[in-house]
This record gives sequence, structure tokens and C-alpha cells, in this order.
Amino acid sequence: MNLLEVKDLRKTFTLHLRGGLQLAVLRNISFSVAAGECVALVGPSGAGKSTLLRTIYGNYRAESGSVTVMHDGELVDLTRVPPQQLLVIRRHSIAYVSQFLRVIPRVSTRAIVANVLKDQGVRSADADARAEAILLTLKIPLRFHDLPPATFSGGEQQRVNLARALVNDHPVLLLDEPTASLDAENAAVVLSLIQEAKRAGRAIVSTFHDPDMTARVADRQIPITSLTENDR
Amino acid sequence: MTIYYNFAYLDEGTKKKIRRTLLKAVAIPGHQIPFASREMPLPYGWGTGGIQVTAAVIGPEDILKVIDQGSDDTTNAVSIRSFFRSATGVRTTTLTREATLIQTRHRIPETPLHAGQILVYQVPMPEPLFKLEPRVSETIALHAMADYSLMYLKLYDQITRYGRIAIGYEYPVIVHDRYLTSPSPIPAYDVPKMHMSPALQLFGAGREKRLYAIPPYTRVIPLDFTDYPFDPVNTRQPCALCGAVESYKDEIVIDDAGNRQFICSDTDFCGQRR
Amino acid sequence: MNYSPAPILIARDLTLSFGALCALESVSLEIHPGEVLAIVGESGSGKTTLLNALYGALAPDAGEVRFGENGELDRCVQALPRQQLRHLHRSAWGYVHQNPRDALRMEITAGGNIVERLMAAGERHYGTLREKALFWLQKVEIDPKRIDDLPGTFSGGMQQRLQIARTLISHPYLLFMDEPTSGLDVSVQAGFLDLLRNLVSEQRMAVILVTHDLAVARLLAGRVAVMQRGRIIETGVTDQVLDDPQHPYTQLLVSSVLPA
Repeated sequence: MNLLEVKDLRKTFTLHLRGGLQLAVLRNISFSVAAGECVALVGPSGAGKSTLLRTIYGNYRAESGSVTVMHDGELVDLTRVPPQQLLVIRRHSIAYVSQFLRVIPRVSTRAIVANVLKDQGVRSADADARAEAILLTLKIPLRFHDLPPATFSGGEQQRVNLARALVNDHPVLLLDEPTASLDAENAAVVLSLIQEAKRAGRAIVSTFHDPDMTARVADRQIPITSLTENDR
Repeated sequence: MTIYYNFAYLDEGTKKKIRRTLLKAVAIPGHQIPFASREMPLPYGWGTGGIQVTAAVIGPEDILKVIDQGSDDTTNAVSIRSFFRSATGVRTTTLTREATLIQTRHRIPETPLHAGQILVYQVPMPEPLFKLEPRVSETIALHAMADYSLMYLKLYDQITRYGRIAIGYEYPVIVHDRYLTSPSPIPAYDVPKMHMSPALQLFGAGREKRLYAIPPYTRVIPLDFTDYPFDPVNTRQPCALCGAVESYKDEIVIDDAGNRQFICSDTDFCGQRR
Repeated sequence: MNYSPAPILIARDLTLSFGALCALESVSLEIHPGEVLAIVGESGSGKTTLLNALYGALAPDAGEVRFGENGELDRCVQALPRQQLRHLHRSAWGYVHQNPRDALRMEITAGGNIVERLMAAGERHYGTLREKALFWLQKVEIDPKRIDDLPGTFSGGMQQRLQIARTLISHPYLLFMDEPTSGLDVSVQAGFLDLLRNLVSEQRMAVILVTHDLAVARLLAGRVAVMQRGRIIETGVTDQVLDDPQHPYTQLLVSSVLPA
């Protein structure tokens, strides 16, 4: 069963501050991801892998094409739903981990992760307990949970970001370089969590800077190539 | 040359206007009605509003009593009484039960009023929300919407600061279950006498140019909280002259050593008991 | 878990001029239950004017604002009698001012300020009022011992929390906020934002938030509307509009922010 289907996705940026310069980034992207499957986007730096993930998530607006996601037992095209519906789908069905952690300053790490669950209606104590558990799995020690992540290392912030996506059970997971700033030991933890998510029947789209990582968790690879003048 | 004044000093046109305003006031109990207050031969604050109301309603058959702080023989009471005696020729009295018309400042007589009597209050500030909301336009809107949370806010803060509602006089009341009304600066102790009183109660504010009224047998309920009910204070000391316990007392310093006595503020009531 | 398509407030073609100045030009928008909409734009773009027109504090020259809680937009802000509008403002809606002193009664204690709406709604038990005041002080993270202090003795951040408590005590379903964080020191802004975010999520209210601070919009709002010269030129999910702005002016606005 496909949890995510991308069809003929197309994205061009128009830079009005550069005299209306058109930047074509995505053309004719089509693929699908089944439950329990992890696909890796591969291609040179700047080819548009991150842009594709963001366009699937709806962070960037698709120019044309469709992104269909399993939400509440139905396939819904994210490029067509009203904004309020997109927000509900993100809260319950599709998660995205960017390379950057963007949170309210001075909020504790535990609260940042638990708030994801609280927004879904999970009781406060349960949310805190689940947040702590996933943070510990990701090797963020308990004594850090009360601290805001601003002073954490890049790798620690990355894992807090991952914890926010992995703490709940969204059927579709989009991971942008989830192991980029991690050492080998922590990267292994993340890979095992991805394996676990696959076993739980979630559909994962990810990018990895390291071909070895790709080989270890990805079931398939989807090549993303830089567009040439002809493609535009 | 002799100057002749109209009966009760005011010209008939003015009296008619005031009576019409009073009729409107009686029709909307507790609601302040503006009126064209006249210059009177005494300064604002000495009872110009009360005198105009008295002058508008007094007739040759009336028997007038005037009290100031409960007393028939303070300067203001004596002056106003003699003013009306000379301007109307009506009989005056100090006996509460005998009077048909009583003009008062700051008290309601201890002797219960009866049907047919009119009590005229001198009112310095008719607007109970005055100190809480300085904009007149806004107080008018608040009355129109019966939104009196501001006054409850004041009561809340009183309990918070003093442990009880520490309003000794001019205690805010709701008249006829509708308008928040100032009872004029009578002691809180007197407020229950206003409730379902058989007498007609008229209020005149000369400087503020407003009249209001409480018709006979009208509900007058003091504002309070269910767990901090209206509970006016009065001394339990008996009157040093007549021995009355329940009446409202004045506390009087009687010598240079600072010794004090409590005596009835209502001189007629006290005198009748002696 | 699905989104209900029934809005609780709709504005249609709001237009308002101050003399020759066109403050609002045919502005339309919708608010859905529980969503936070940020109205962003530079000073003078009409954000606060729009907020006040939606709230019913300013009458537009043309257009109307309809609202209703149960999927029926059966009432019109502009046609509401003054008494009903006031009742709405003191119970089911709330307004948070940029300057808390515009909302607080400075001569009344903190506790009194918090419970005023309850007294307006008819609460006449002092003990209950005290309990509610203490509860809300804790909720907005003010030491309950300060309940009998005057607001003037509070810091700016605490005054703003007090204003929030005073407004939320009636559990409004729609909250209007005008630059609630811009009067605060940077050091207390973060804590206030976090509190606001948690309360909005917990109370499940809809919020219309006017802010010139795109970072505040990103952290609080699900949706943004970008205003320029009295018009809404772009709307969408907050991160869409801020990360992939379509309109030239939005691109300028987003690119003009100094990175922290």
C-alpha cells in the first residue's frame, strides 16, 4: 500500500528581487513510497533533493503535479488542500525533519518534543514521558532535557529535531540529512530508528550525504539530477 | 419697593419643568434624569438640588421638616426651614410622623415613614460610577447596558484590602432590579430603610443638574457578594441621652481629655424618647 | 482529526479610508476554529486597522464581518447592537493590546483585574473569584503572592501576562492580539511567546495576531496574511509564505529581516 505518491512534480522559483529571474529546480518528479519502505533521494549537491522534500511537505508550493499522502485512511493531495487542512495533515500524517532546529528560545528540550504530542491532544504527563523516552533513545542524556537546545552541539540539535519527528507515529516521514552532523555511533542509532520505523509500517523519504548510509537503510534510490538549460 | 416672589420662590414655569422631570424619574426608578437646574440663593453644595425639588412639590397644605445629618437644629436645616416658611407660609415641624414633606441631607429619619410622605434628598454626586469611570458618556452607556462590574470590582478590592466591604456611606444600591443608584451620602446603616419604603423618595443634585426618584414600595438592594453580604456598621453603645441602642449615633468628643459620647444623630427621635 | 471546513469568522471586502488615505482596500479573510492567523506587514500597511475592523472597534466604509460559533455565520459585527457587541467583547472574544496599560485597571489589584470578566458575567461569590484569580496567576506564571499588588508594581512582561489572564479567564473562542510581544524586553519575549503558544494550544482558541515580527509569526501562527498598503497580497501556511514567498513585496519583506 502506498502511503505517499508524487506525480509530475514541478517547481520553479521566481526571484522578483532579481528582476524576475526564473530558477527551475524540479521537473517531472514521480515516485511512490509504500508502507514499510525507505527511499533515498540521491544526486549531486544542489540538484534539488532538499527542495523536493520541502515541496512534498508543502513548505514550498508545488507549481504543478500532485503529492498524495495517506491521511486518516484516505489519500489526500497536499497541493490542493486548504491551508488549515494541510496543517492538520502535518500534525497527524506527515513529518519533516529539516537540517535546522527552529524553536522558541528558552523552551526546554523536553517541552519542545512533548509539544508535538500535546498539539495532537496527548495528555501532558504522557507526552513528557514519551518525549523523554525518545530523547534517551537518541542519546540525549536526562540532565539535558530541562535545558533549551540553543547551546547544544550541532549533532545534539539534529537529534532533538529527529526526536520531534520520531516521537509520534506519522505514516510518512521526510528526513533531510538526518545523520549529517552525527558521529558514527549516533548515526547508527538514527539508522536503527529508521529501521524500526520501517518495521512499524511507516513510509520514509530521506537524503543522506553518505552513500554507505543510503545502502544500509534505503530500499530504493531515486536519482535527482541537476536541470540543464534544456530542461527548463 | 417691595419684591414679591412667587409661592415657593421658583416661578411656575420652572416648577412645572421640575415636576415633569420628577414624573419621568418616578417612571424609571433609580435612573438619573437631567434637568435645567436654576441658580438658587445659596451656594452649590448647600442643598440647591433638594431645595428646587422641595419648591416644585410643596403646596400650601404641606407640613415641612428639614434635617441635616439627622438634626433639625443645625445651621443648614434652620436656614432652609425658615426660607420655605417665608417663601410659602407653610407650617414647619420637627416631628417626623407629622411632616408631609421632609428635606434631608445625609440621613433617613429613625421613625418609620408612612404612605403619603415625601422624602427629598440633597445629592452632591448622583452618579455612583463617578469615581470609577470619569467619562460621563461611558457611565451613561454602562447604565444603559446595566453593566455594573466596575462597582463589583470596587467591592472586590475593598474586601481584599480591608477584609470586608468598607463603604460606610453612599453605599451603592440597585433600584427596582435595574439601575445602579447612589442613595446620596446617607450612612450604609440607613440603606435598608429605602427598601420597600411607603414614602416617595426624590433626589435632587443641583450642581450636577440631575434628578432621580424611588417610588413607594420599590425594591432597593445593596450590592454585595454572597459570601460577604451587606453588613453596615453601627456602634452597639447606647445613646448617652436617650439610651437607644438600635439608632444611628454620632460620636462626640465632650472635653479636652478626649472623652467621647455616642448620641443619636436623629434629634427628633432622641427627643421623643426623653 | 480532520479539519472542519466551517469558519468562525469571515470578512468580506472590507474597505476603509481615512480621508485620502486608503487604510483597507477590499480585504477578505476567514478564520477557522482553533487556528492562529498572523497578519504581517510593515508599519502603516493597515494591520491594526484591519484587526480593529474585524473586532468591531472600527466601522468600515464598505464590507462586513460575519461570525458564529457553530458553523453558522449568523451574526454580523457591523450590525450588532452596541450592548451585544460589548457582551461579545467581554466574554466570547478577547483583545490583547500591545501596551498592557491600555487594558489593565492600574488602580485595581492584580486579582481584581483578572476576575473582572467573571463579575461582568454575574459571579457574585468572592471566594470563587479569589480561587479563579489564583488559578490564572499560576497559569500565566505569576507568583500567586502578588495577587493583591497593583499592576503598576509589576514589570512589563508580568503586566502583559496579567492582561492575558484577565482576557482568557472567560475562555474566549477568538482572540485578537495587536503586537503582544513588541513592547517586551527581548529577555522576556521568549518566555511570553512560549506561554502564549501553550495557552492557545490548550484553550483551543482561534487567534488573529498582528505582528511586524516575522519570527513571532513563524513561532505562533499556522497561517499568515501579508499586508501592503491596505491590501492582503499573499496568504498561506506560515512556513510556505516565509520560506517560499510568491509576491514581490513578500520576497522583499522576508529578505529584509536581519538574521539573529
